[in-house]
Amino acid sequence: MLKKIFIICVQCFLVYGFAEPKINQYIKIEKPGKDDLVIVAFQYPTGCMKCAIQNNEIISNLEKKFPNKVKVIALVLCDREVELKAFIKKNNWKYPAYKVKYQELKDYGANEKSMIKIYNSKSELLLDLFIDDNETNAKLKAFIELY
Amino acid sequence: MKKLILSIATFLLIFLISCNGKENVIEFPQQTLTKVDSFVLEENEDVLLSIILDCKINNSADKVVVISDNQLIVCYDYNNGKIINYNIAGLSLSDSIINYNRIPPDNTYVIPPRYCLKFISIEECKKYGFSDVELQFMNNKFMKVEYNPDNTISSLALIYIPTLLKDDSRMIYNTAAVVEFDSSLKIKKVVFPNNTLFNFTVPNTFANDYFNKQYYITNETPTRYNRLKLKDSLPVLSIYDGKGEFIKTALFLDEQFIIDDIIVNNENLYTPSVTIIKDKIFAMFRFDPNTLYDLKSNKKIPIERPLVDYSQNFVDYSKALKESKKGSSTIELLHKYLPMSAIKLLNNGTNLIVCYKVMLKDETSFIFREYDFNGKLISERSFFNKSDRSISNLLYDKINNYFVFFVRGEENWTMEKYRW
Repeated sequence: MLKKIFIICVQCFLVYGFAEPKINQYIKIEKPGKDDLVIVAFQYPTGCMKCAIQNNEIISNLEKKFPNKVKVIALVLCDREVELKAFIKKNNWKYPAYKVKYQELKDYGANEKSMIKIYNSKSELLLDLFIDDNETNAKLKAFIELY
Repeated sequence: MKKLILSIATFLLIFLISCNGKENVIEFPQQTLTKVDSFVLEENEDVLLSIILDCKINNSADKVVVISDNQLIVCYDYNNGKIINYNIAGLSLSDSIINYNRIPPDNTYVIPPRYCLKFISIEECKKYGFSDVELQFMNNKFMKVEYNPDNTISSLALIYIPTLLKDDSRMIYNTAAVVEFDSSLKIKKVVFPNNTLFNFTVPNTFANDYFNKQYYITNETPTRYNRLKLKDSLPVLSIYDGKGEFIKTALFLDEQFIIDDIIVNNENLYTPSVTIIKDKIFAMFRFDPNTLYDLKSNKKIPIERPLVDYSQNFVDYSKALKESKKGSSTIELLHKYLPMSAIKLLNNGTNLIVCYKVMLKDETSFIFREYDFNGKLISERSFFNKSDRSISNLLYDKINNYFVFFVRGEENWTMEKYRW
């Protein structure tokens, strides 16, 4: 019995300890260059417009500050492919977009407040921005200055 | 090897601690709902449902009306799920205030204060320098819906209106407004409540007292609490006449919610659910699942055999909110400290039915309880959402005694009927 528990524990450890974060699969698809930034924008198609507009403004600012160095991915919070397509069409979304269910957010190290995550080419998280955070502008400014 | 053993020991310790955590014991009734029927809801390129915010059934139980979060109101055939008609909350709703003789209230609480001059039409926006982004922000939507006794439909909508300020600057004002439809979902009129700084309407709760020509609409509570530091007489629901004029406050915030972090962080916590039955209107706060409010006689009714005791939980939840990291999930905390909520107050034509949602170990289940007007428990049912499907909303069909769930699947939406 003890042996079985030991084996299960080792297996759990191996699965959880070495599993690659789920976001890496999408970052890899973008094939970012050494100094590139990968912006993962969490899009809530039925959420507040203010947040959607803020997301777009941040992406546009970063593209201006780091020309040709920015890759953008949207994780669109919805359950169905048809909703993802509707989001792409309605917002004229020009970057890659993937469907993510609410329950899956934690697999991406995110929750209902996540707005934008910025990674480097090695999939290391550089900046984490949240909805309704009055320090967003200051965080972004500091990031742009330091990077 | 040492590292591996240490890691396993840590893992085991975490596992044991999590198993030892405080369990929320909620007793489920033995009787469950029985499935009767299920229909796929028709969708097409123009009508694509996102989240069903509200739904109602007509008196003859042959039509249902649903509100989808993407600006849609859709009327479906209750017997086959086919679309009968629909409407979209377009920008024309914003323009409907122009001939309404309303002046936007000044907001002296923000810095700099906003002294409003007038509402303007969408056509005038370009002239006054509104950008495309600002116009994009005006995402009007229907939020709540009522089927009236004559088969007309009333909806409470969130409406954005371009506004000029006295200092020549501009802003986008938002308000709740009642949209009156005929039975084929054509807009008859839009009623704008007379908002003031203190009785400002938000589209979270709505009841149409059809025979008395009165609307019950939620008020924005945190402003009054934050700015005036008032701890009593905080309005949550007010009565407006058929022209949108304020009559009186119907429901004040209960003292137990007057905790800093709760008021500021989560308005949904104290947003009431309401139901109209005979000549009475009842309300219940989502996270006070043990109290009913009779709004006509101004009576507070404790329910019989409550399922949970939340007396200490608000304080614990408030403490946890205070200690939580910025950007962490408040929903997870809510499920941990307040796992059961009264999500909807309905009626079966004779008695009240409270729909309790129970979140335990990432699984959602439901308890439905029938109470008389004095809070006496009449009957109860359970519904175990075994495969944890996404139940977006529900209603009660009084004619057939069915509960109707609106379920979002991988491909389609279904309307599922269950016998009480």
